[in-house]
Amino acid sequence: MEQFQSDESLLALFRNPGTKEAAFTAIVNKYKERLYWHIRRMVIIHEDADDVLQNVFMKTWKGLEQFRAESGLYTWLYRISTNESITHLQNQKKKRAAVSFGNEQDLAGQIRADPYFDAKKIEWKLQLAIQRLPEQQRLIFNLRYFDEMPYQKMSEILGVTEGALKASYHHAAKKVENYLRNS
Amino acid sequence: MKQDAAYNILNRIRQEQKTNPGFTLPEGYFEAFTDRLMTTIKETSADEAPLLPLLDAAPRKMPYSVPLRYFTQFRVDRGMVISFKRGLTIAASFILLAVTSIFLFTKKPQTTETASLPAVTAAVNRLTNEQLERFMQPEELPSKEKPAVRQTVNAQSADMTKLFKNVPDAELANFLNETAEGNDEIFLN
Repeated sequence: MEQFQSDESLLALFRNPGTKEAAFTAIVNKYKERLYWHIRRMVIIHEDADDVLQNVFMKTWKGLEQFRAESGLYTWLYRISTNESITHLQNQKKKRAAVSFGNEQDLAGQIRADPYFDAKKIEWKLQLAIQRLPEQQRLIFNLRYFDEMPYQKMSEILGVTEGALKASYHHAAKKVENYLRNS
Repeated sequence: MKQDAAYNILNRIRQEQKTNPGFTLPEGYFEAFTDRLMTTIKETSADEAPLLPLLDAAPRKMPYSVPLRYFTQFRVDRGMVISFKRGLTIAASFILLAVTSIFLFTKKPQTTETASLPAVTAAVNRLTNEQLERFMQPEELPSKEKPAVRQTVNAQSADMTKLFKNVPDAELANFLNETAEGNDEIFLN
């Protein structure tokens, strides 16, 4: 089963017990990379991203039969990924509550600990700048800047009005620009 | 009637405007209108979009690395409800619990014994010999059959010791020889 099949046909195949497994594999193959990078940008570490991605597809497997297709499959998967990533970060934050520094600084520390980290390269500076944003702004910035997601789609995923998303993105972009200028 | 009156007023205004329009327009207003509108739109857009030269120049590629063939080998383990990390944590908790339980169940009685033994030893050491003898040979025992027999035996052995104390060794030896012979006879018969 090829991954370029439409979401509608994949969903129809998933609902058929005879083709359920193959349809699910096709869905995984179609979205795994996009979702992985969306998650990775949030949780930074590969092992954490892998855990979250596994959870996302586990929930997809369990919940896809009840999926009413009111929103697109892609939107639904992004929503699960976003929620799982946020839950993961919150759990991490709770675990590290005893330590004096916050989660944002810790994520920046994880970026610096990457074996390929190069403080002179703009792409790494950009990642450090993004980690200084509040969680919601970081999420919006990532979806808009890297995934180039339309505001309307983002609104469906995050449940925030388009106007609020635009304002939030512009604030975030200005902060990132200032960080890049001063670093 | 009212409708007729309103109609008459509007009709009179229209007639007056035809003869004398009253409003004037700047020269070439409509010709320049489109250009002015487009300029305004561009200026407004520039205000809305922040100038972000550094961000616009930054590459959108991810600097993070992924293990070799991660995406080609990626499989969703549908049987694995618990994530690997969480599984490890749970396993570690169980091991810790088991070790703690073993330690508590095996160690606790020992600690009780070791704690109570010196106390018992000290208490026994404080007892006088008389108290100990009294404990070993209680004066008043309940009138149950077995302890009564034991008391009799104990009493007899105590009496015998006292009796034999004053008997010379030679006489005792003779007595034992005689009785031993008697016993052999009995045994042989």
